[in-house]
Order: sequence, then structure tokens, then C-alpha cells
Amino acid sequence: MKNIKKGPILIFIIGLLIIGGIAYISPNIIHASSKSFQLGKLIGQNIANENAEKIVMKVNNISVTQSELENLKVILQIENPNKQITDTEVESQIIAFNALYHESKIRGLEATKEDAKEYAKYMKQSLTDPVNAPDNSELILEYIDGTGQSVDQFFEKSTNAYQKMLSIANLRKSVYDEVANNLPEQIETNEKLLLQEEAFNKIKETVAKGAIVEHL
Amino acid sequence: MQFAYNNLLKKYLLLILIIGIISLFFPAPTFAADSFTSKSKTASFIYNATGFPFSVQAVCYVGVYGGFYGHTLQIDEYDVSGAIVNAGSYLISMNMIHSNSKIYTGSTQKATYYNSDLTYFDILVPSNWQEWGDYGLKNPCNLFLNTTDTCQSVVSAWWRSDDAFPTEWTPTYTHIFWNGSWVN
Repeated sequence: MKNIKKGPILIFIIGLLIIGGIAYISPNIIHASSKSFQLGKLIGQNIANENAEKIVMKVNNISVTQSELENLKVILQIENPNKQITDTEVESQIIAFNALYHESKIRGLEATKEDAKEYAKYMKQSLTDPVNAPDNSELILEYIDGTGQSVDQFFEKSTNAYQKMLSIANLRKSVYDEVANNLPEQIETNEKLLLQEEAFNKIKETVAKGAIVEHL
Repeated sequence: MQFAYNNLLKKYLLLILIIGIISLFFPAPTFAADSFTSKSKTASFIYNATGFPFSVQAVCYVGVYGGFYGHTLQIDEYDVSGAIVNAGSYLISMNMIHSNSKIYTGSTQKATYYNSDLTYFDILVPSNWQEWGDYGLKNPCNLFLNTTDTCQSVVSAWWRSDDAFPTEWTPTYTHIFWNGSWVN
């Protein structure tokens, strides 16, 4: 019987195992290190906080929870890594957002709970739809994964958020339509868009400035 | 007399046959003037103020205008435009800008048009699309393409919003035309 050297064979097998292991683990490492996963992780930590649902302020009597403020802060911070996002900046954005929602209610443009549920259902289905999924659905799925929730769990508590988002969308559309109706037909698209944005931003500024804010 | 007539008929038949064979190698141009096509893409973003996602759909139009000169397609005008809409409509302020267009025949790049190369023009967008884009026209572009090649117009758009994560998105659309017809 020939004396086979076991050393090189053993090294070869170990090498194969290392390469195979790296190939197996690397997609998970990339996934876990993605910006959207990291964002989701930070959001997940905020949601898991025992004070997450604590109402910390009211804007025109609309409650704002601690996690809403903290979530916005982490999103802004991850988008602006070279800038320190202050609490004042976060607060002013939350005030403007809720003041716009309040304004949509005053103008009778509030989206219904059913609209919000329908939109949440559409978003949930579209993310996992093999044919109609958005091009970057992976980004959202990584984000949801980062929060430590399943897709179903993530969308379970989304109704209030979607109701506010869709109401503001209704308000924006109403303002844009109003501006367009008062412009001559031959106006250039870009100019029209600029005027529409200006009108909406003016309303945003006014309602944010006039909002009644209570810190609790 | 009959012999002469048969000979003439044979000559004509031969001529028709030759023309028929030639036409196989030089197919009739099918490219119509005012020919444009569109493609759309959907992406999801996270709304900053709530942390919940929403969808955006962006459409890109490309128009090629020109004519055939023998075996060559001469493109005199090239236009590109964009429109962007989201399923929830008007959730955020959006704007899609043309970044650049690259025209290829096969793998050979024939021309690149940047936004600065294009002059503004307006285009009719179907009424169900909200217009958001910057539109541009390159004229003259004097682009000569072999009609037997597969030609591609690759358009990069650019989207930005301060209200969403990620704030930027650069969809790329590949419009393909061959022998003057869009293959999209």
C-alpha cells in the first residue's frame, strides 16, 4: 500500500471549506451591513424601547410618540452622515408633518382608514409580488428585516401612518390643482411645477408656524 | 411574334425575380416619423416622517425622428422626457431629471447626450400621468445608423426628494430599436 501524504489533502479540504463558508456567509454579511438594514435595525431598537408609545408632544392636538421623533431622527441622520441632526430640526419636521395633516382635515381632505388599510395592503403585496415588485423591493425588505419584524408584523400598525401620508397627498394634489387651474394653458411644465411647489411650501410654512404645540 | 412576346415576358419575370431577391437584402424601411416609445419603472422609498414605504412609478419617453437614405438611418432629432407618479399620488415632492442618453449600435457607442446638450421642449404626456420631468431635445444630431444593426438608447434619469429614504434614485431605461422599429 502506497504511503499517501495526508497533509496536502487536509489543507486542500480545509481550503475548500473556508471558500465555501465565505461564499455561504457573504450574502448575509452584505445584507446585514446594507444601509437599509442598518436603518431598520435602529428603527427596531426605537420601537422596542419601553417608552416607544409614550406621547411626548401634541401638534394641534395630534399626539406624537417618542418613537416617531426618534425614528425620524435616525432616518435623517443616516441620510446626512456628515451632519449632526439636532432635536430642533427633527421637531420642526414633525410639527410641519402633523400640521399639514391637520390642515388636510380642516379642508375635508383626510383619507379614510379604509384608504389607509388598502394602501398598506397594496404595499405589502407589491413587495413580495414576483412579477410586479418594485425594482428595489429588496431595499424595503432589508429595512423591514432590520427592524426584527416579519412583513406582516411590520404593516400591522401602519394604518395611522398611511392615513396621515395619504391625507397630506390629498392636500398637495388639491393645492397643485388649484394653482394649475389659475394658470394659462400654455405655461411651461417646469414653471408650472415650480409655482405649485411654491404654493404648497407656503402653506406648509404657514400651518407649521401657526401650529399649537404642547410638550408633555 | 409569339416567340418575341415570350422572350419579353421572360425578361420581365427575370427582372421581377432580381428585384425580389434584392429586396430581401434591403428590407423596406418601417421606421415612422414621430416615432417614440416609453418604458416605466417602479421603486419603493421610506417616508421620512413615518418610516413606512410607498411606491413611485417613473416613465421615460424616447423619440427618434429622421429618415432613411438607402441602407442608413439618419436621426435628425432625438428627444427624451420623463414623468413620475406614485401610487398614493402626491405623497412627496418629486422631480425626475434626464441625466444622460447613450445611443449604441450593438456594443458600439455612437453618441452621448447630456442634459446640458438638450434644449427644452414640451411633450404631450397622457392625461393620466402627472408631468414632473425636465424634457429635452437634441436637434440636429446628425446620427447615422446602419438599419441592419440593433440600436439602443440607454437613458439615465435622476430622481431626488428630501422627504424620503433613500433620497436619490437613478433609474436606467434601455429602449431598443432595430431596422427602424422599436422592439420594446
